[in-house]
Amino acid sequence: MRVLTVDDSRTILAMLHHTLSNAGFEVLQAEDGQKGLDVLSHENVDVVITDINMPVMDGIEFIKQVRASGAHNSLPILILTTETSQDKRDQGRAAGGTGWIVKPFDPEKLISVIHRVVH
Amino acid sequence: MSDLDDFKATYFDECSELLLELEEQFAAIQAGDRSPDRLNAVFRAIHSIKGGGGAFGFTELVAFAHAYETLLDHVRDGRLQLTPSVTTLCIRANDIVADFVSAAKAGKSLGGNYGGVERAQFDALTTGHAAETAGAAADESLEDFDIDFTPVAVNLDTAPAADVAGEDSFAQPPLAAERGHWEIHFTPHSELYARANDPLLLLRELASLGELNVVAKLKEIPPLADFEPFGVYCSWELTLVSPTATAETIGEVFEFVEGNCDLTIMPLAPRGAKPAEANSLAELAAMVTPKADPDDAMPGFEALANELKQETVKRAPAAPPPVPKLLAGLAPVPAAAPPAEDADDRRAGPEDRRGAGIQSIRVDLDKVDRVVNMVGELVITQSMLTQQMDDMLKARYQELVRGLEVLAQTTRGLQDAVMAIRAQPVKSVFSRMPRLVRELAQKTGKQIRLETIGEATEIDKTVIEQLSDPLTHMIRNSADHGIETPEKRKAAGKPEIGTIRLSAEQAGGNILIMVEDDGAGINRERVLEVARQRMVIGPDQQLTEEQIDNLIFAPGFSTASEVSDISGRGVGMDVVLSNIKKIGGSVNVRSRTGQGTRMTLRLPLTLAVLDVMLVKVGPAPYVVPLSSIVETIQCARADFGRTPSGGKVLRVRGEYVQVVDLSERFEMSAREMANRFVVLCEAEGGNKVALVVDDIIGQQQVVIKSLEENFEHVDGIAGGTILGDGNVALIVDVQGLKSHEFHRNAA
Repeated sequence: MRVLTVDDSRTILAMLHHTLSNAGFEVLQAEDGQKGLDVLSHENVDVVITDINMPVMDGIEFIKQVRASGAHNSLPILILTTETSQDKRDQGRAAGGTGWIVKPFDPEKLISVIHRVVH
Repeated sequence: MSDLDDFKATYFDECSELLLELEEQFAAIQAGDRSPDRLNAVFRAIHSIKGGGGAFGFTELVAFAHAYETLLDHVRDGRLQLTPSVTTLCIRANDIVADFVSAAKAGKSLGGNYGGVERAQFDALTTGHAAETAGAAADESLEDFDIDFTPVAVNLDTAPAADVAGEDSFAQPPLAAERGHWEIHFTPHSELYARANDPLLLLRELASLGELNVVAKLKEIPPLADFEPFGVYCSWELTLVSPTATAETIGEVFEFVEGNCDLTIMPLAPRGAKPAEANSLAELAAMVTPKADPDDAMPGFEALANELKQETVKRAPAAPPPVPKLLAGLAPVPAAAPPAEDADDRRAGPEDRRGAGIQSIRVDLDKVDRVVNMVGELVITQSMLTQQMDDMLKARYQELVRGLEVLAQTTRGLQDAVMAIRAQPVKSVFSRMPRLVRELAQKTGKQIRLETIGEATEIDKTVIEQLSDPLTHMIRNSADHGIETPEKRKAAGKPEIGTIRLSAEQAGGNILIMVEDDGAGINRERVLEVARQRMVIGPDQQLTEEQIDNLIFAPGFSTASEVSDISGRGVGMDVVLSNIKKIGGSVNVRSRTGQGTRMTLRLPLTLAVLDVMLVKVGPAPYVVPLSSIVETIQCARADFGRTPSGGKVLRVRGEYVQVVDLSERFEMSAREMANRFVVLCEAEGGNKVALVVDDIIGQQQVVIKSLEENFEHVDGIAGGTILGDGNVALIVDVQGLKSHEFHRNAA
């Protein structure tokens, strides 16, 4: 199973990579929404985990664009963010986000959330 | 190193970059740039520091960053104006965040009240109420914080993934409750599918809570002719028998689809689980499948018709297998099975990814250093080979000679390339200075502006690391002794705000770093007086203005405790000199009374390899750094003289230069004077010294080996090196010889 992780924080990308690859996932990385779109344009992934606050293209816009492209309607997208406030989460969902993970994430929880949205 | 340490290292690296970014953004904001990008970048930086900090359980850091972030959020969406006072508060907050990061890195605590005053100000600004007392407000915001954002320390030593991902992962849900029977009605809306949620997965998760019976409601399904591929026709009635499930745990399963479906969860009176309708699961799978991938809607449609005709799977009433297994039995499910072209794409994957252009990689510095060392050894071997070629061999093996020439060139290229890997922009050091200047300005009551130029100039990483302390000293010196108080400046007709300019540029094989100020200049009378008092110079010694200025770097000369308004430092500028010398650099100061002072650091581009002139003193080879040599003169043609005090001097183009006879200095037997050579060198501050040696052998590159590390410090020797023939040669410390003689003469 392949996961695309999109986050501008190297720390978070590294931790996601560690947790996910230990769980047997193949991990792709992108540092912002634009780069995430680039990866999706030529890679097949099973699930996307994306941060909200990012330079160049934020997570909300990234999700909107992924859904607008029409090519990834069934691709689960998990919003990874420290924003526990309801409005950020709602924005992410309205844009087409499938679910969310609250940072800092517990590795076990992360994996179980992924299994909630991926076959 | 454990994984966690690795992540921490990454985190702290990232924090340094983010703190640097904060400095930059606020410099631009202070310069009047109010574009939203600036604020967004600031917000993101604090956000990232907080996010990572939370993962490692740095609660103090996270608490402060969170409060600061709240303020920034208010500024970002316009609820709060970015007035000069708010900007000042933010800059102060950046410093505090930096302190928290340093403390976290050192594993220390700054105490919960650190930054409390600023937190109270955030609070006052964001709530619109004046804070009553700083402490109380800080406590309050801490409480808010606790409710709003609870950091969870990451435990990376989790069980392997198989345990987590397997079917047993939900065997023991976290919340224990009474054994219960639940009835759940679930009707998805089309938005649920639009966000890639999948009812199948929800049912799978529910099944993990206990015994699940699924009944698909198919009443709404229209005749085939009216069937809309993207229409939503299916709903489910579910019964869950679980000893542990509660309304909360069941609700949690539907967390992601809240608002995108009709959902009722009702407790039922305990009774035997209702047997499932024989074909419900098959229908369920069939109904869900076309939704799961609308792109496949047309081919899926055909599959749907087939599915509906298929044999259904019977459930064993006593021990129902988990839903996922049942679903697996239903294969082929179109959306679940990857199409063949998909698999092809995956094979093509890795190369594509490489093509997608990763621009940089992170490499452990140890690995780079190993390469640097090996290249150094390669340089030695190459020069050894070249030396071994005598004329006879050269005549016989011309191809070999050509090959060696190419090898020499390639080695040189390789060396430059490796050094470039170690090079870093000076920005990483310069970026620490704005805060220093702010603090100095505050302490001295002066108004000081810091300008930085040439931050992108690159220099060896080791040099960069050694640069921070000397630069800090020099800037302190400028702020403390150079820049005058606003009143004095006004009286002298200068702008009240003093300027310190920090610049870096590359000049040949050196990097020049300059600290300039527009202050009062060095008080030469005072410096001379102190120098005489402390016996740094003789009572009657006459010095040029430049020599007087450079006295501030002389060992034993420190006006710090005498002249300074900033007490408790206890170190003088001689520390700067010794630090800079350690990394093979030199320092020079020029000053103009009333106009300012400029201190120049001259640093080598790289530390490891040195271009040298190989000379002979007695029977032994010595090397003199090429960068310090001005010219060489045969002694027979040199114009020697004596000073009235008896010191030997050389007259070169009307200038008298001090002579150091290396044979005398190192106690070696010397050749006849006429056959010897003078190597004229330039030491720090443009002072020249004439070294007398027995012979000049040639020029080459050497790899510096530390004498202190391998033996002990020797006056007049800067280090050692191994020559091509395997002999050890000592590196002459030009500056050391010069100042040694200088003091001997002076005493």
